[in-house]
Amino acid sequence: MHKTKQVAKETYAGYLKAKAQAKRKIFIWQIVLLVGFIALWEILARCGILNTFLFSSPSDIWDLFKSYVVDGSLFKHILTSVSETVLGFTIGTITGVIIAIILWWSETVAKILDPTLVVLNALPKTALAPILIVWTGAGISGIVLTAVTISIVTTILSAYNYFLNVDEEKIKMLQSFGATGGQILRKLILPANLGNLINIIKINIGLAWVGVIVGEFIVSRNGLGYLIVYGGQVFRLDLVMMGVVVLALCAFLMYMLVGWFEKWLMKKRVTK
Amino acid sequence: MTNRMTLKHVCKSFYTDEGEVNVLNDINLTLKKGEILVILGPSGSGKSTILNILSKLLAPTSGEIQINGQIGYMFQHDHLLEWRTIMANVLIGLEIQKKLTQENKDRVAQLLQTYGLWEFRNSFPRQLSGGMRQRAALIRTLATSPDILLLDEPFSALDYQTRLMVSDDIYQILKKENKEAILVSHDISEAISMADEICVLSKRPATIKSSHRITLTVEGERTPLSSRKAPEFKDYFDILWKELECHA
Repeated sequence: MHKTKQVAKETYAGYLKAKAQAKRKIFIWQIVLLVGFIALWEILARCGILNTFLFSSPSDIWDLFKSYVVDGSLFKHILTSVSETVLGFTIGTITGVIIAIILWWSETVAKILDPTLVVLNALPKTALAPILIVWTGAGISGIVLTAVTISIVTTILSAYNYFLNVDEEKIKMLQSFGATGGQILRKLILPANLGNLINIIKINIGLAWVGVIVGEFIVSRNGLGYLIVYGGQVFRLDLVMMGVVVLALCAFLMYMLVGWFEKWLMKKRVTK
Repeated sequence: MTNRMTLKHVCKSFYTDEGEVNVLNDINLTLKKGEILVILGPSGSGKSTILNILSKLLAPTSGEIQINGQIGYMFQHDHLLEWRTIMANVLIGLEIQKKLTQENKDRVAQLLQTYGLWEFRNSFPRQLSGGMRQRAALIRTLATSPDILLLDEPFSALDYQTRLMVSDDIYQILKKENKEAILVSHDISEAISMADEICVLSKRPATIKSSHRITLTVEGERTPLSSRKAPEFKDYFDILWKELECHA
């Protein structure tokens, strides 16, 4: 005779424990992947399987990193690029949202500008970088302008779309109290899209970095983009790699900062 | 003044690229003081258009409208703003009209207390049940002290039981606050249970097909729930059912 006996015992504490374990497991694997990749790279470079002239090696990059830190020049480059990026995405986001508000306000303006925006959106904005830099000169302004140009068009289009997607009936509700356009904007359109605006900021950080690096590739004496392009020109691949790694870290940190800001804002809103 | 609101020969057409759509054709309505008028009609018959004209969200193509008093509009959905607390939500009308005086705030607090939402004043809409949300929406409308309320199928988004309870709630609030109301509905029983008078709309272009004064024999105070038990309820239902049916 076939007999089965099953004793079930599930507890909430058990569920939490299992969840924490799963999370830890994922974290450990993430670390293993990163460390393993670096270790493999180093080993292959030392055994001579990888050509260090082309691929450099983690230890060379680390040494170079230390020397740049010691003489302080790395911070100068980081500061240049980061401030250009921050400036670029701040100007891009704020002007973009303001233009989106204008488009939301006036359907006529939106219709007039529609083809222009479509073309600008389709155009790879990096193609404009040489022109912008020639116009504004070889300073920081050309690079910032490139960053602004890249981020502003997507900002306008996505913010405008978000604004249009706010429930028509909610607008009617405010209008039934006699709300003006400005009141609808302040009390409904903007707060309803707070999360979306933060997403726009997140996307713009990435886009502004593209603009800044492209700008620095074309003309600059400073910045991470300059380090990378200079390293490439003189075939110092360790310099290129270091530039890329530092760049990745900077972009990641900025992204995290916005993430924290978002969490703080949402928390503040709920506990108001 | 015995009439709160009169509509005379009101017509409304919408113009689209496809042509002219005649929605309302010669609408005549009277809202008497202290009464609830229900406009009953098939969906798409232009019921909401009438309310939008009354609340001045739309202008009529022709006709005459006379309104004595302030209008408050209550929608099918509660449209509470998710990022505002219940208190901030019900105050939004006063905020927009720049009438956030202490006196008005106290009155709103009183309304919240009377209708069982005071404990939830600092909660967010998502923490409330559908019925409570609808009550909050009504308080938001009442906060600006309107004389006449326009209710656009305010219960249709709720499940059946909540719907009966909320219509009972809202009926009592309307009577207690002594407000006139125009309620738009496609639900015959709901219409009979709430109305002092029912106007039946025809299909598009809508005209008032007939109007019925509702007199019910109920024990004690009349509420939507007790109205449903009145002996005349079924007769009214049959009459209205036939009226709606013959052009369905």
